[in-house]
Amino acid sequence: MAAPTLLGDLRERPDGSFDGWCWAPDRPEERLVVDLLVNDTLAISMVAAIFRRDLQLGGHGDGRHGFVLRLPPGTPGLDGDALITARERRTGLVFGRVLREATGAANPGGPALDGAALALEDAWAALAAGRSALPRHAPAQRLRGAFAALAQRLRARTPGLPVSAAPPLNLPLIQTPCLTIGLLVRDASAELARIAALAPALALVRAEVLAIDPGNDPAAALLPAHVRNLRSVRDRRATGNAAACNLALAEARGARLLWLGSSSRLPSAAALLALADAMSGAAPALWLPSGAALALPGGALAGGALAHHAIHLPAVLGVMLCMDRALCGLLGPLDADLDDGAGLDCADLACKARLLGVAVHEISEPGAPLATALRPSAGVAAQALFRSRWGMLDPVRRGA
Amino acid sequence: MLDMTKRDSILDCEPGVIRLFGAADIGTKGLLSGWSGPEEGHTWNDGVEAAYALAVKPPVTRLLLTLMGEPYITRARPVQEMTMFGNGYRLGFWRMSARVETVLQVVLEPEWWLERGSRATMRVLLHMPHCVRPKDINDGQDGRELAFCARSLSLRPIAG
Repeated sequence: MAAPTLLGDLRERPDGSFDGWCWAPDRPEERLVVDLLVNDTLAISMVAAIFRRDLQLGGHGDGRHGFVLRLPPGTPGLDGDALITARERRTGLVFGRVLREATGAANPGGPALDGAALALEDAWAALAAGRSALPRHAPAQRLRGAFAALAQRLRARTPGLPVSAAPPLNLPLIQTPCLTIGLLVRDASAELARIAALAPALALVRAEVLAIDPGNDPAAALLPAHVRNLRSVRDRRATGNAAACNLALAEARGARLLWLGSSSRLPSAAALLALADAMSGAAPALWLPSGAALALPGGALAGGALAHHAIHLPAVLGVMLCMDRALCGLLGPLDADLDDGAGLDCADLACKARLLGVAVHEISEPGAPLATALRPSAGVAAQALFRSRWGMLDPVRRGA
Repeated sequence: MLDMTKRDSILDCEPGVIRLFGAADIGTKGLLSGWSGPEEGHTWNDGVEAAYALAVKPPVTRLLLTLMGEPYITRARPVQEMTMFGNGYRLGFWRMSARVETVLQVVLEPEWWLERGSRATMRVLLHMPHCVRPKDINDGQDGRELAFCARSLSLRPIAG
């Protein structure tokens, strides 16, 4: 039996009411009942049966599928930001969302970002619905293909989405997370984009999001308003990657921490792979996504190149890690002396893991320009310290 | 005047869902007497009394009936009055003097409904003594006796 299809739209009008339309191509004559939900609570419903010439001209049945709804006075949830969702009653399909923003609320994400968040939420729901089809050990390439297709679909769906149609990212409330996804908030807008990119994976991996906020960006305080169920920890000392990551390790509730530094590009795939690893019951491992981020500032380093020789990785992106917390108790915290913004602190952790016989995996991006890994961007002192600690592992010096 | 032999005798309502008068949704469903033919998005009364029949699934709770529409107001007919009855109970009275979207609301007590099997029904009667033919007051050629243009109705559960 074919899945029901539904077309529709929801918009907020200047007078605060909502209008839109809803039509099922496989039931073209049927008048559909539209539910309007405020923060996932049913507020009002009506039969979508108002005639609209644009619908008729657009081939949407006889054009009698429009609706105009005004939320009843006193509807709960309207005093702050509210996510208004339009849903067709019989099938439960959601066809429109609008963020009604509280007056004066700042929007650190901007329209494009919130549009992506909106679309990703839909995609996330679609992905979650088909979760049983996902293999436990989905190869990174396949995952990337899936997410690329997802991203393409999302881009097609969100051209020119207005700010008023920007919903907050409604992450699932995970009581007992398997995984904690931690990130250091340097730029709230950028972090919001990264969290939005994670959304498809979060429901699958039962992950919580933990934001370490050193207080650099005042807009970071607004993140919890834009990302529901995000946990924020504010600590002015957690300015560097190592300090923030160590704090996240202490605060994480998940058995594993996926730590996103400043240049991670494959967080969704990384999270899924890490989860697949955890579900397989394999021994704890360290995951180091690499490659793609090498082209980004700060993502590659001369020391990293040394490290990749040492641990046989094509390159090391030191600022993104997936760590078993018990394993990290064994390895010790990230070394702040190696925290020079180029990832030596994480490369250091990887080297320790290798010495202890712990598997170190990478998630690589084929075709990444490895030459960029040789950029001497790491600090001299940190490089010297790293070489003194791990130089004996350099295969070049060993004459391998 | 609507051909009452071709109508459905009752309008099944789901509490919480707004239904639209006019050709697209309600059409002639439940319109018992005193209505003109449904138009696009609205249905006019035609005569002093207009009646329609509603049904909900038992058990019936307290429901708020909301009837939204627009009275026929002109300089020659500056006021329209409406008394609403439900199964014989007097539900409410309104005096309307502006040709604007008007919301009429009444609370329907559970005991006012007539329960028979899987349906609880109510015959709602609108009494509009000041209805008038527009052509009689030099307001066009319309020969219907107009008082109220119904646009939507809904039943919503209320506490207590």
